[in-house]
Amino acid sequence: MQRVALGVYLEAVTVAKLLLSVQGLTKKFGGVKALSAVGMDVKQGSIHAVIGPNGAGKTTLINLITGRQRADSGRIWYCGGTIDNLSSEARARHGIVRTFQITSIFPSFSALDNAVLAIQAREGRNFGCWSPVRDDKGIQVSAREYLVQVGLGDHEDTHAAHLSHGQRRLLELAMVLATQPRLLILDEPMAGLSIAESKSMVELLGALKCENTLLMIEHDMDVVFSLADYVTVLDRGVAIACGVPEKIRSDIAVQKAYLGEVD
Amino acid sequence: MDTAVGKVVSISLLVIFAVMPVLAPLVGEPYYVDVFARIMLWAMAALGLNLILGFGGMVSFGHAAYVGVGAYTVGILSHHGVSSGFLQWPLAIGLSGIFAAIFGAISLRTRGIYFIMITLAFSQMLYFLAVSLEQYGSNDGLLVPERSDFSIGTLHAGIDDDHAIYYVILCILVLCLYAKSRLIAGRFGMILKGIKSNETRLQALGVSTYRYRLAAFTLSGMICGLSGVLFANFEGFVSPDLMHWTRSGEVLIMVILGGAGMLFGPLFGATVFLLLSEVLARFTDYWNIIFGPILILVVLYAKGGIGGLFRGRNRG
Ligand SMILES: Nc1ncnc2c1ncn2[C@@H]1O[C@H](COP(=O)(O)OP(=O)(O)OP(=O)(O)O)[C@@H](O)[C@H]1O
Ligand SMILES: [Mg+2]
Repeated sequence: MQRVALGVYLEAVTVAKLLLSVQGLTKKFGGVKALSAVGMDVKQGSIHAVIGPNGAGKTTLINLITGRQRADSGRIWYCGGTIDNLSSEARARHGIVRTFQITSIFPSFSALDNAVLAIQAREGRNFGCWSPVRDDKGIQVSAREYLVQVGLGDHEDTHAAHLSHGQRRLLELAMVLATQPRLLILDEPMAGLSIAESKSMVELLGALKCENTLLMIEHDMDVVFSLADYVTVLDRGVAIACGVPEKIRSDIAVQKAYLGEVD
Repeated sequence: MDTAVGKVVSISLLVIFAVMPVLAPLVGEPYYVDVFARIMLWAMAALGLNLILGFGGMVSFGHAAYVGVGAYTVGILSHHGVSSGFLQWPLAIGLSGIFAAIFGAISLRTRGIYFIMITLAFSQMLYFLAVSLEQYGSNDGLLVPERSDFSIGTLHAGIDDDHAIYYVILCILVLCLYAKSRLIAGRFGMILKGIKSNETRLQALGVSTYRYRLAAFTLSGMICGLSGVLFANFEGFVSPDLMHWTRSGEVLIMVILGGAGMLFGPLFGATVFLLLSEVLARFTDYWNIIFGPILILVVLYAKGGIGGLFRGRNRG
């Protein structure tokens, strides 16, 4: 059984250059089946969107991939190997780095130090006790570049807690980018952004497309259809559809899942 | 402590400590030299605790235990005629570190109130161990016959003089403060502050936080051990009282009172705590009744503790 899965997997890898592939992921919370046997393939260099109504299990899927939660059953393949036994920190060090649905930053740090900490996380060797990080030109310059990339160049000294909601989401994105991820996972990056902010976020994510692989959860269909190369649709824990955006748009099951949903 | 005022106050405080051995006898209160020496010793323990509490967000309720380990190591060695400081000090600090590493390794797997309770339980274990050591005085404690000896060959060096030990304590305290200021600005310090600020975020960036928390816990135990070494030398006496849970509580209060997460916070906290209890105890036997509410008021209304009053903008 396992050998068959491996064979299929290897074939898939060589044909389509998969970065991530999940098979049969199942997760229950007490009586609630958040995910049932979900499969999904994410191609190297693509933007892959996961959509679905509230409570469909989208965040849970991300939690399983990043190792924040453990699957009841199913397997996760990444870069040619299973990562089921890796801790969430180890997965992050291997390049699976995420943003959270509820923005997660270091509120007591300056914006710049948020990025600095992310670079430290990537570099490791963090037991240094004697030289101030502030005097480390390399790390400061590089941290600044990530802030500039997301458009927070003017806010490096701002206390992260004092940034606006939109700016904090950008800061979280800067941090994730600073770890130089191979698989960048975004949980509803547009949530709560103003129209102008979402516009620049879409531009930003579009620009990332050339060099990164993105897995993003998104509610906004316009965003999904303008950015995504592939879409997986979850409904009540089941992957009901998967494919290029045009196919998803016309898929009847998807329309049913969204029927009556006020979005 | 970012503001100029904060710096001035901190330096002034150190200057007061420096002139105390001369000043106190002049104003007819030589006894205060001892009080100030003790303030420095507890400040050092508080500084150790502040490393994990103030910067790493770990509320340990058992740090007096490591003070005790340091003090007892010196006391017991001295009791058996081993008085070389070159042997006593590394051994004492090393043992405190080992105990802190073992206790920390277990405690740090828990969070919140469980962490507080388990650190307390471990320190009580050591307390009762000290009480049970009959050959070393049980409850009555143990006299330390002589202070640590740092002679090399014929070159005599010791800290027998009372001024000498006072200034040794002061120097070590200043060194600790300096080392800590470097540490918290360095990579390790950044990680520690990150853990306190948002551990989930740090883990999601790929940092295995446990090992950093354990390293900080161990280091903080070693600083407390060093303070214990100096205690044994200064008092010429060690007793289980040093490890009693109320002592751990007091160190905790000093850190919070002085402003957790601030470099000079523990020094402020220890100074105010010990001076206030000294002064109040002179006025009335019921000084605790006054002292308690004062502490509660400070914790409630001066959020950053005493150090917070001098603090400019908030920094991680
Ligand atoms: N830690 C948990 N404990 C119990 N139930 C949970 C937990 N996490 C998720 N669930 C449940 O699992 C289901 C899927 O939740 P999930 O957060 O993955 O949905 P989602 O698709 O991200 O929804 P949303 O669009 O609201 O973010 C929901 O019914 C939710 O209540
Ligand atoms: Mg969600």
